[in-house]
This record gives sequence, C-alpha cells and structure tokens, in this order.
Amino acid sequence: MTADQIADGSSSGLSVEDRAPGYKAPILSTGSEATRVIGVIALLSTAAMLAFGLLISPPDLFQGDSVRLFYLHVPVAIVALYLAFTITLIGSVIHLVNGSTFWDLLAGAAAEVGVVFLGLTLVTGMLWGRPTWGSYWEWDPRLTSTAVSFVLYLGYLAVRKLDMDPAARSRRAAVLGIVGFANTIIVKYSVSWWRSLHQGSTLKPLDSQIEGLMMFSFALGLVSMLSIFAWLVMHRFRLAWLQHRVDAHRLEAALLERRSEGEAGIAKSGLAPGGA
Amino acid sequence: MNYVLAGYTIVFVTLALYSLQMVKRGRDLSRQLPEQERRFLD
Amino acid sequence: MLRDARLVAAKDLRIEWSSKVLTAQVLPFGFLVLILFGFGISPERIVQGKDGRSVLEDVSPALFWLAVLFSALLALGRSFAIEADDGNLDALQLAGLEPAGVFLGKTAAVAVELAVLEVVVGSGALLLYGATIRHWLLLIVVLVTTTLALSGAGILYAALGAGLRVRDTLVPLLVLPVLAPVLLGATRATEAALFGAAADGWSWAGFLGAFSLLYLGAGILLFGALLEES
Repeated sequence: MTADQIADGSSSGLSVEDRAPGYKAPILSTGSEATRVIGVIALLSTAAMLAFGLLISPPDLFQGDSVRLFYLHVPVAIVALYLAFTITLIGSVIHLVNGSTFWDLLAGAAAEVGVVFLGLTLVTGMLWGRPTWGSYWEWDPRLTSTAVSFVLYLGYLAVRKLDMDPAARSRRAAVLGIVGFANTIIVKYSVSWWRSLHQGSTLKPLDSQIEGLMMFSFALGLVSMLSIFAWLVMHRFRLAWLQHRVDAHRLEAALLERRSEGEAGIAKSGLAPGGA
Repeated sequence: MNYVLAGYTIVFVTLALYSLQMVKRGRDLSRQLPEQERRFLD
Repeated sequence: MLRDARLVAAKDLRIEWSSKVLTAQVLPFGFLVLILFGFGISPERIVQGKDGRSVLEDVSPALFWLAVLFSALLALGRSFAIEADDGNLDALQLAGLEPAGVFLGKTAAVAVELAVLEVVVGSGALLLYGATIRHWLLLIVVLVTTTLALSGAGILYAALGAGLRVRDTLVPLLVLPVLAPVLLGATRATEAALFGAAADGWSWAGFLGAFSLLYLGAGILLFGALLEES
C-alpha cells in the first residue's frame, strides 16, 4: 500500500454507494453515540440558556442588563481556567511519567479548546467592563492575569505545532503544560497582590445578589458551556488521534518505498552490497 | 444591552464556526485512513 | 550534579569571553533600549505630586527592567545557539553530564552575564534618567533574586526552543509571559528601593526569591525530559 493510496482512501473502499443495503456505514467522521448525545444536550441547554438569560430573567438592580453577560462569561471562564488547563496539566504529567499517547493527545486537545474559551472569556469580560466600569480594559487582577495566561497557552499550542520529532515535541509540550499551569497561578497571585497594594482601584465585579431566575440562568449557562466543551474536546481528541495514525501510516509507507527502492537498486547492481 | 448581544453573538458564532471546522477536519482526516483503523483510543 | 554545573558554566562563560558577543552586542543593545525609551517618553514632563519627579525618572525602574528583559532574551538565545548548532547538547549528554547539572550550569552562566548587564545598564539608567538610590541593600537583594529568576525560568523555557529553526521567534513568545510576574515584582521592588516604602519592596523581593527557587527546582526535575532527544 503506498502513501498515495492511503492519502486518497482508495485502498479502504470508502465509497458508501458501493455497499450493499443494510451494510453498517463506515465511520466517516469523529462523531459517535456519545458525542451525539452530548451535542443534543449542548444545543438544548444553549437554547434554554438564551431564552432565560436574555429574555426571561430580570435585569439586575445595579448592573441592569449587563448582568446577562455573566451567565455566559463566568461559565466560559470556569471551563477554560479550571477545567481545560487542569486536564492539560494532568495529561502532561501522565505523559511525562509513562509516555502515554492518549494523555498527550488529550492534553493538547483540552489546551486548544481551552485557549478558544479563554479568548471568549476575555472578550465577554471586556464587553461587560465597558458599560460597567466605563472602559473595555481595567488593570483588574482577573482580566490581567487571564490575558497573560492566554498568551502563555498560545505558546503551548505553538510548541505542539512545531515541525520536529513527534516524541520530542510531545515531551516539550508536556513540560510546558506543567510549568505553564504553575505559572498561571503565579501570575494570578502576583497581579492580585500588585492591585491590592495599589491604592484606589478596588473594583468589585459582583456587588449584587444573585438568586432565583438569575441563578437558574447561570446554571443553564454552565451546563451549556460544559457540554459544548466536552463535545469539542472529544472531537478535537479524535482529530489528534486520526492525525497521529495518518502520520504513522505515512512514515510506514515511506519506509516501505525506500526499502523497495533499495532492494531494486541492489538487484540491478548485481547484489553488490552498498552498491548504490 | 448592545454589549450583551454583542457578547452572546461573538461567543456562539465563534463556537459554531470552531465546531464546524472541527467536524470538517475530522471528515478529511478520516478519509486518509483505512476503515478498520478509524477507531479511537477511548 | 554541582560538578557538572561548574563545568558547563565555566565552558559557557569561556565561550562568551572569547567570542565577545555579550560585550560587543548585547550590552550595547541594552544601552540603546535605554536611550530609545528616553526618546519615547520626553524627559521634560513632570509628574504632579511626586516630589517633582520627571515622568522618565518615575518610570525608570520599569524601563530599566524592560531593557534588561529584552537583553536577557538575546543572552538566552545565545546560550542555546552555542550548543544546538553542532549537536552539542547531545555531546554533553554523551559525555555523561547530568541534565540537572547542565541546567544549573547554563543558568549560572546566564546569571553571571545578566549581572554584568544589570550593572552596566543600571548605571546607564541612573545617569540617563536621573534617579537616586535610597535603599541600597534592598536594591542589591532585588538584583540578585531577579537575576536568578530571569536566568532559571529563562533557561528552562529557552531549552524548549533548542535546536529548532523557529527558535528566535518561539522563545520570546514562551519566555515573556512566564517572566511577566518577575518584571512586575522587580519593578515594584526597585521603585521601593528608589522612591520609598522599603517594606513593600522587601515582600516583593521575597516573592522574587520564591519564584527563582520554584523555577530552579522545576528545571532540575524537568530538564532531562527536554534534553532526552534533540
């Protein structure tokens, strides 16, 4: 089997139309039963969250309508900062300990989705800040440390995309996944300390009481974001796994080709060892 | 309220586009592998 | 481990000494950055209500540490450029040196280089920006802890880019977010040493010390995983 055959799928008889009726359809995507169920939950909770968050729940006494951004912003932030990068940390540690491919790929998948969520955290945070504080950016500890973490994990993704030996790349990424997590905590700590020393800039984001319908909207937001995150990470993981398999196949095919070339060369030169 | 709507729009449009791109990449990559190998580690 | 560290540090410093890249290129660069900051922030502007300090003097701690930080990037890049180009990192491994020793040695060499840099750029900053030092001891402790923090964390992250074609662009992206808290702490502590309130400065110095110890520990533990292939 050559690399080209693998690349265009012609060797695996992919064309569904050729199959007899009743034949179990081949897996054509990264979806599965589990992701379909999670996907439905995600769509339903998102629809409910939109209805409750934007229409049904009342505006806040102090913040007015801006409070509605919280039902979105806080769950996105929780998923990114507490869930995604914790998975990356755990995956990195396990990969360094036993070289597991599963945990390496999972760490990478969670980090990529986490960076997307972190970017959205920043955007929604700034959009909330504009009507509330009067400016898109305040040097608030949360905002500032989130921005630094965002760049930090962009660096992690850059390492994962490096063109180098995959095993070495995974190890470097794992080191970054571990130290990066520790650094996120340090950044958070140092920035909070800095702002607490700095006089006259105490910005309290949540002065208002959150209860009843507001709490429910927030809970819906959390379910929606958690299920979207789970769906994305599962798909991203499978993508990474497919890529891993495809790379392995390419390498195998290339080796085979090289070997047959070598054999042909030896045959031509009359079995002279090292003739080519 | 404009900021709120902008926030919701940005978040859900981004996530939708990201999901679509993910599914598409999955299909493309699946095609490059023999069928029996399109199982996942989990 | 410490013997290996001494060997590697001595080797790196010897290379730097004979090649003169540090003195001929990195030091002038740091000085140049100081002058450029002066262009950007005009020296005549006076801050209201801060003992009549000029804006330039008021932000001189930040400018000094930014100049050091940018120059440190060059020094860090150098530290691995002298290794990776000839597959030297592999050679160090083959010679039986412990990864932790290599890490400590390279960190020590960069720390020495940075100390020289800080003295020169620091004197330049004092002269150009017209600041005066009130708390000498605090300033020296801050210089030492920050140097260790910059070199320890810097070497660990610079090693992530070792031997890669994209090293020059990748390493700053990886290193700068990590060093952001160091810049923050060092600047606050230096402000305290120059303008007043030493108590605040000491707690930042403690933070810098803790940061450097954490990264030295992380480097000793994890450096092996980074070297293991190349």
